[in-house]
Amino acid sequence: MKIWRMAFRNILRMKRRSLITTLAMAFALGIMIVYSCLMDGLVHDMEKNATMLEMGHVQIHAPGYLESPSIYKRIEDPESLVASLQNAGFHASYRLFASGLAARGNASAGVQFRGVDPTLESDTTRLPHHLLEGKWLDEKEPKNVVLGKRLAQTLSAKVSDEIVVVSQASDGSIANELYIVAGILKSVGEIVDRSGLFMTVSAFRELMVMPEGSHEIVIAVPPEQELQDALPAIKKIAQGLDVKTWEQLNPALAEMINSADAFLIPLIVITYMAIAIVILNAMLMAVFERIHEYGVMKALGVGPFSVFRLVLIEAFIMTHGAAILGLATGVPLAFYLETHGIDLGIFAQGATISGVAIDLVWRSLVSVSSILMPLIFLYILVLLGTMYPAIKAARLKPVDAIHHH
Amino acid sequence: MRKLFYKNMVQIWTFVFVIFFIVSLLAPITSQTADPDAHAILKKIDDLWRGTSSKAILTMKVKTIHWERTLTMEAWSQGTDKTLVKVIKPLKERGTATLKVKNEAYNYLPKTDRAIKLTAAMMLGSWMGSHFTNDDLVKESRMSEDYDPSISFSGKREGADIIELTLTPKPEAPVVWGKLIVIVHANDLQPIRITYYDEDMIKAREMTFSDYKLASGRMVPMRMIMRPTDKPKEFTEIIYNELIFDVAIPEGFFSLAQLRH
Repeated sequence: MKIWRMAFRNILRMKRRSLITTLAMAFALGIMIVYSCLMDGLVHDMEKNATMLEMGHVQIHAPGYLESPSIYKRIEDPESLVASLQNAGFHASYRLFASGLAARGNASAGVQFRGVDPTLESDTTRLPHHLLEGKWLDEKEPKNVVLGKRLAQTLSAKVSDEIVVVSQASDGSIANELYIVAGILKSVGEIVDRSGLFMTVSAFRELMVMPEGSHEIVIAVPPEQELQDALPAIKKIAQGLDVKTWEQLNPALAEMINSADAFLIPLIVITYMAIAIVILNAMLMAVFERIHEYGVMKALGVGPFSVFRLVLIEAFIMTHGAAILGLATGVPLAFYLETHGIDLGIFAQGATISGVAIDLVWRSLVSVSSILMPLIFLYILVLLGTMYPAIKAARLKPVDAIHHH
Repeated sequence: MRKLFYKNMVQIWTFVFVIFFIVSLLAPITSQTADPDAHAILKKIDDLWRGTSSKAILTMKVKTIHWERTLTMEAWSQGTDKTLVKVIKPLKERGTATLKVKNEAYNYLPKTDRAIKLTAAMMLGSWMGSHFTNDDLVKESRMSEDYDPSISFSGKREGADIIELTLTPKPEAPVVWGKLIVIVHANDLQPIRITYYDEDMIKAREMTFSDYKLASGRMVPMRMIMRPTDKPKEFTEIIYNELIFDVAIPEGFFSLAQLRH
């Protein structure tokens, strides 16, 4: 017990040095917690953006559609298929695609018409909430369309502008119609940004003379369910159709997300190493400043093991303090960044990875492991960082130490 | 010595003979590259439907594996660079029109009351759902401007006297084809068939002509069929129901304002 009292006294005796050491460790811990949470958030957001924004977790197409898309390769009766998928606990929405031309004034652009059910789409993907300006489609307003970001730029179209579209309907006739721009999307992905022209399913059916069928069904698996577990059920419902997961649809992106952890490890190692040096330095200084003192202790008959324990106990008392302080600042900050994020919009206009937009607000993701790991790491670091000075102190020869300056 | 001279003479004569033989082989090729006949034939095909002006009523039948439809259209032309085509039937598409003035073309859509300018990117798109492209329309009657013709065959083939022209694009010509093979009747130079090859010299499509008739004192094929090679079951057929040359067309007829009428 005596040794604990000594340790406390030693810490309190040198208030300023103890405070600096504790604060350095607390600061290091806080940084590590926030950093881990941010990195987790980055990976998580990438995956969420990739899937929930537009792609969904699973997509269904008619066989051969993905290899060579054609308005005639349809999924028959998508309404009942979506209903069965919903009964099985999934979120699902069907989409209709056709290519054509949109023009406004003298500007024109090749576009992809995308007929969607406004309500089902809201239920399945985040697309309806991903608007730069204006509003999402409404079944009651069939003349409204929503444009991809770059398409709107090409046509210099703004909300409530009129645009003309032309195409060849599925019966061969000339499809042409005048629409009103209701909304413009934020960056979603290459294809949608450049050529996406969203309209309601009924508007699409009328324009393209396609009374039934659809080209794509997009499915979101509820968060509590694993994709691989859900797949057999989806395949059973969509028998005879082409069922693909988002990883199969965009393998480059899946690869990137899956290897993101590997990417982050060197970054984390570098950060932690820098922090380890800070802690080690503080500990070394604390011991070497007091070599004279330890010499006196040893001269008074304190055994080497007691000196060793004393140094370690001092370090651990300070580490406890630092842990409490670090957690008290790092965890709330990580939580704050989870809700508010860091707005990168001031640095970049919008970015895409493998054709999928990434969010410009960088949010953290707080998890037990991303708090516990830095904490454990701090203790290990302190233990390693103190071991050398502690051994050094224990092995001091009293006479040399007392004469040491 | 004499013997040697003799031997040399044989060699010289052999040499001269071989040279002559090679030159005689090359002769037709060199004369082809600047064949005035080939140019004249091509010019005649270009000018077939071209007068000072023309007015026509034509039927266009388009057949694809998914649908089949027939459009009746009215067409006017003036000189080489003014064309206006308007749909009369079916009723749903009545008034849909294409206007071409020089190298600019517009599609007018009555339902939206808008005219859309055809940009470079749309040139390879289908014209009114047919197997003709917008590019065909804009570049009609200018084969002699864009291609160098040469006669590649002349004589009897499939029981008819024909002349076959091979057209290669001029170096700077803005064309999408690798070459064209044009076959005409040898006697009256009426076109029989134009075969289009892509840039890899693979056959892409074929247009055949038939039903040669007199219109305003001119012999013209009244029926044309375009068949894409990669879609053997599809074709577009154009039949002239009426064709009058040298009609009076009012000033300002080929304008965007006219499209609305």
